[in-house]
Amino acid sequence: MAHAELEIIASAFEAATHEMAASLVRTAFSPNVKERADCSTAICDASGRALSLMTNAPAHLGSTLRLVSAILRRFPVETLQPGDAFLANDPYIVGVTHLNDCTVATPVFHDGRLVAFSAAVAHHSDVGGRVPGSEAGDSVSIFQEGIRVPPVQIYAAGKPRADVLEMFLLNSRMPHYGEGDLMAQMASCARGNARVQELFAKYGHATMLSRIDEMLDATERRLRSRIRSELKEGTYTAVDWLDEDGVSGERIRLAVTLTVKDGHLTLDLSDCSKQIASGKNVPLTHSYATAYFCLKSVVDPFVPTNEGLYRAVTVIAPEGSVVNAVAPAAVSSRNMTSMILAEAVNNALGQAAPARSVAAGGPGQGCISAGADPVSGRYFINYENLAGGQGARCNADGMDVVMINMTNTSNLPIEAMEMEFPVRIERYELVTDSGGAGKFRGGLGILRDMRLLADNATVSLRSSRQKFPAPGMAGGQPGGLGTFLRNPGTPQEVRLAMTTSGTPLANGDVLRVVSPGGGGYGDPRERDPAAVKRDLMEGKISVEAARGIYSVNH
Amino acid sequence: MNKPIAPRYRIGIDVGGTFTDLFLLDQKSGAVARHKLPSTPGEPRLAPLAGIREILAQVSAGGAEVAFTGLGTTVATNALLERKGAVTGLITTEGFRDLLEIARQKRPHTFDPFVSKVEPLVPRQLRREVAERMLADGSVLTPLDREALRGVIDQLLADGVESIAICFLNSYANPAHEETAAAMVRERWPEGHVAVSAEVLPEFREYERLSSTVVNAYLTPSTRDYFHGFERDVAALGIGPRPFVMNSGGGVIAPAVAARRPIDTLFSGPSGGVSGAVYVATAAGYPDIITFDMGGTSTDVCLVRDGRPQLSHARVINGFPLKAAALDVHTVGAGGSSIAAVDAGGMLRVGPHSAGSKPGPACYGLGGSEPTVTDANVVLGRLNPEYLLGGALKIDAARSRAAIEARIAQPKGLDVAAAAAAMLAIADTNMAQALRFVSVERGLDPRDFVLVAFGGAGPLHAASVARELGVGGVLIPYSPGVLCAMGVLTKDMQMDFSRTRILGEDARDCGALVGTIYRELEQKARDEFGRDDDAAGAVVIERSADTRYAGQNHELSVAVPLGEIDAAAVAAVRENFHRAHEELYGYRSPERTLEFVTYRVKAARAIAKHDLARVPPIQRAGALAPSARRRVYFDATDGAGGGYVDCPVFDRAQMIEGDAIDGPAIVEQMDTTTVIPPGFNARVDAALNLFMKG
Repeated sequence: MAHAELEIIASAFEAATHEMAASLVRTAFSPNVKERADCSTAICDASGRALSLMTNAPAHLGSTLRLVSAILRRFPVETLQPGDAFLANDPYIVGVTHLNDCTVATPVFHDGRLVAFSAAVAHHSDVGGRVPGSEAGDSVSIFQEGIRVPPVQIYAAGKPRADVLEMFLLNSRMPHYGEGDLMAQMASCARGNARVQELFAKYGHATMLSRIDEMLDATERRLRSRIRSELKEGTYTAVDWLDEDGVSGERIRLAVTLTVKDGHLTLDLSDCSKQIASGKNVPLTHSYATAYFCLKSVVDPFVPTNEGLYRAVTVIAPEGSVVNAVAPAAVSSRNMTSMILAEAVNNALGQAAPARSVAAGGPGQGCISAGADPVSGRYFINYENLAGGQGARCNADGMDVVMINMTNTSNLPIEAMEMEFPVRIERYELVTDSGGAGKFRGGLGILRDMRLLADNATVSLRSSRQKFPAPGMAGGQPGGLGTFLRNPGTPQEVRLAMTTSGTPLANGDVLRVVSPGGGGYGDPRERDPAAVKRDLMEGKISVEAARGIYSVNH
Repeated sequence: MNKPIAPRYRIGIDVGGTFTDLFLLDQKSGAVARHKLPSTPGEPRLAPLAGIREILAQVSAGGAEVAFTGLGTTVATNALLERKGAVTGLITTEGFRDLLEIARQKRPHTFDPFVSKVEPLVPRQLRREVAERMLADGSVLTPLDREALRGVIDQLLADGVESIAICFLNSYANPAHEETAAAMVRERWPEGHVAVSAEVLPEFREYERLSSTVVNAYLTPSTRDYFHGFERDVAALGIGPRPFVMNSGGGVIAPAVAARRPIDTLFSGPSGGVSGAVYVATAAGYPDIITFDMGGTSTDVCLVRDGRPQLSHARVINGFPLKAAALDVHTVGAGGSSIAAVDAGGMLRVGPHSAGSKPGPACYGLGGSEPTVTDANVVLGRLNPEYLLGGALKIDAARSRAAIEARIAQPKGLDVAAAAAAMLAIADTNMAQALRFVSVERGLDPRDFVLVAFGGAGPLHAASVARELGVGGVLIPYSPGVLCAMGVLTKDMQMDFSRTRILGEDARDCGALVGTIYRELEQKARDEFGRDDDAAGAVVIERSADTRYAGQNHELSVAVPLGEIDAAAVAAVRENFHRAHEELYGYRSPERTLEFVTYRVKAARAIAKHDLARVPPIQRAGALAPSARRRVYFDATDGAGGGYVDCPVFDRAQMIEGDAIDGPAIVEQMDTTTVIPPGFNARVDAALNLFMKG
């Protein structure tokens, strides 16, 4: 037997999904995939088990859980051919977590037998629905969020199904982005297929199947061992709140009971709010993604992502709750909710692993501006998500202005925006005192002013932590709140609702986005005076905060 | 003795973190000399100076006989990595001082919240704002507030800054405010250092331009002293022609330019290696190569097509994005010191942790107890079990064995040899995947390339990596250890200039406007080169433009013809763009309008070069014979298992043109060891390169 065959096969699956992701980003068309890398790739075996996932966007960790079974239900194994390709985006049928995440999958054959699927998930800029960009926190059913695609065949034995592709693209406000991204997803899957075929050709069918089992078992063993060594056994509870559902103004409870036992986690989410009437519902697969993300980041950030990771955790989420919504609930803004759910899970995990604990952070504030450019006449959609501050860590301050949890996408360059869209950015700066005070300070949020220079422009806003701040941990104080303001500092200043869609702005109006800061960790009076002094010199805290909260005199 | 002296020696110098290498060519006889001495990080000017003296002493020559001196150095890189640059202040547009810290709002590691962002090079209190605003079309929205600017400059100076960066929004479209501000700073502070964004990098995307400008300002004071000092040192040795400095883009520049633009030297070390490899490989008849420079802690890889290394205009160093022309060298964080471990699930992993050079591999006996790739090579007999570096570094094979036994063999239930072989198999697979990734990112197929291996560990692993990748062969240069120093001698003077201005092809006067931009850039290039008085060839210009379909957000760089930008020239650019688009995306849209975004000029000026591939004849009586034999472990050729075989060891210094060796065999030389596995054969070519094929 060759040396390290198992390890080499395992690393080949990881390398294949990396290669697929590099290809996808390189050849994609939309800024959302190309610049923000809002995409992920996967290889699953014929029964649908994930062999490797490369998640640029960890929100996609759950997107392939049910993908293969959904495809095979519609297209039985014996009908599949090399060169087939399938497209799907429906959360309820295929488990993709919102309609924008259009997923392409292609079957891989060895000696005429189906052995795997390659899959590429990309967040498409627009899939129709009632608002540009398709995502709105206040949509009340999935039918408002765009075209629902069950598994459909877009290529049959290498030939495009023009009718299906046209129907899909016809439902997008940005069809040329959609088409370019689909082609990039096809190219990405072709790479995955080639790599998997090479592996089966080199090692043979029987060896591959047994190595795959061993690989998944090894990941499971590793996770369980890490859980045993990193987490104290016991039961832990945590609760956090999402400000409002976006329709009725009711706040949403996100509660978790974590049980750590025998190297296994159980996350019981039964105490979360009921399903709500807005787009902030979380499909079950996305709740799973949240659990996998938190487990990996607390226990073993470098573990390869595959089915073995999933086996180390059980999620209990009652059907009809906000964390396991049933059709036709709207889900496009599930990230707003899962971001807070993640903080509850992190908090519970932090109780079990104090040396890896991190206070809650300030999630990104979503802002889609759209309209017609008065100069070019071209329709524009400016999709942005502005970061807040990370929660303080148990041994260090939280980072200022970073995306947190399952999102890590970049902002767009100001100069690119001003070149492309009729907007002007007038201010973009850190917000003093927005980081929760503590022995370790929470990360600061930002303030960003954008002036819209178009007639009949609209904004759609999605947010969290505008009413309930990121709580501190171990005696730390909460972070600052987020806000949306129109025309700040003028007599016309108005605070905008935290969940809106299609709100009109006049030509020349300024939209101010303030993002929330992270919670602090530990008693502020225990903060190193040198760190307080540095924060004061840098203007990250005010003199009042230094004297009052930190009790430091200068 | 007063006979006239004709300059005949050309000297290439490569200053690394640990050693400084020199390569000397007698351009009259073709004879070469090599020299290695410890670097002097505390006083970085000392090592190159001492090195020149010593290598000249080797050939009994004086400074007056030197025709060319070229320096590759990591002095700027080290200052950045160790954060030993100047106290730097920033002047920027009102409302945007935090851009440096906000950056692109990403955290460095998606899954590990404990990995922190890099601290900005300018603390917040030294980032000062001034009222002014340019728009994307270059028009002025808010005039520059000179009164406020005066106050800001005084404040920064009172705060003790040693260097000032100036970066205003949209200055790529109109640099007038930046120019005024720079003039005011210079007037107030004539002896000071100022870096201006539209001079450093007149391209759009503000954060990358800001970061590049700040890095330049941060490094300038120390690099100015260093490069000007080097120039004086060389003159003081009696060397007449002014020296040159290697830049990141694979050319050489005058020390005065390097002093002003240290960001152009940050990747000069890897560039020198690639340049040397390209030179050797091209001379040997292999224009398409992948360079494979594997050292202790990292491995540098670069794709070279048709003798031209791929270029990159955006790179990241230690978390700081830089937009500056550089050879597209991809660094993999794995090397001989990568540590192997069995994870909690029972899987053997190699890396990502490294033992570095201290404590280094277990066999160094410096306190390292964890098994590294080097230890596996020692246990398997691939590396000499008693010493490395031609005897300069004694090693202890028993420590390698003990480390692998305790950490790998026992937990995996393997014997030590099988454990070591498994470590190498994984290390080689990881490496091959990293190489494939680099080519995939570029859309190329590694099978069309030859691997050129150098660095301490490159030739050890090259054959198995090549087999895994399926490349066409492996070339091991004659002097892999001084390839960087030699590379310096192969380069022309070269600089890159760019400017962003968005123009639709259908815009009025588009051709005339584009033509004017190119003429301005080319004038800038000639001005830079004109400052140098070294006898060299004419300035050769190449144009390119970052182009896209209107409405697209990403550009492709395509060649632009010289001369007037008339209808024919625009048609040529169109065709270049459509072809590039088809190559990348698989289709073209001839009906769509093009937009030109960033204009680039590469200016080169030839410096007379000589045939470095000529090597001094080696005298050897009789056929090639092994200098030793030792037990070396190899996998069976069918990939199933393996064992120790009695293996010949050859001395590279004894090998001459036409020698052929069938694997298994080991070739030792001072700076590296080459493994020729069973199933591979190697031949020595006229330039004494070793070419291996499986």
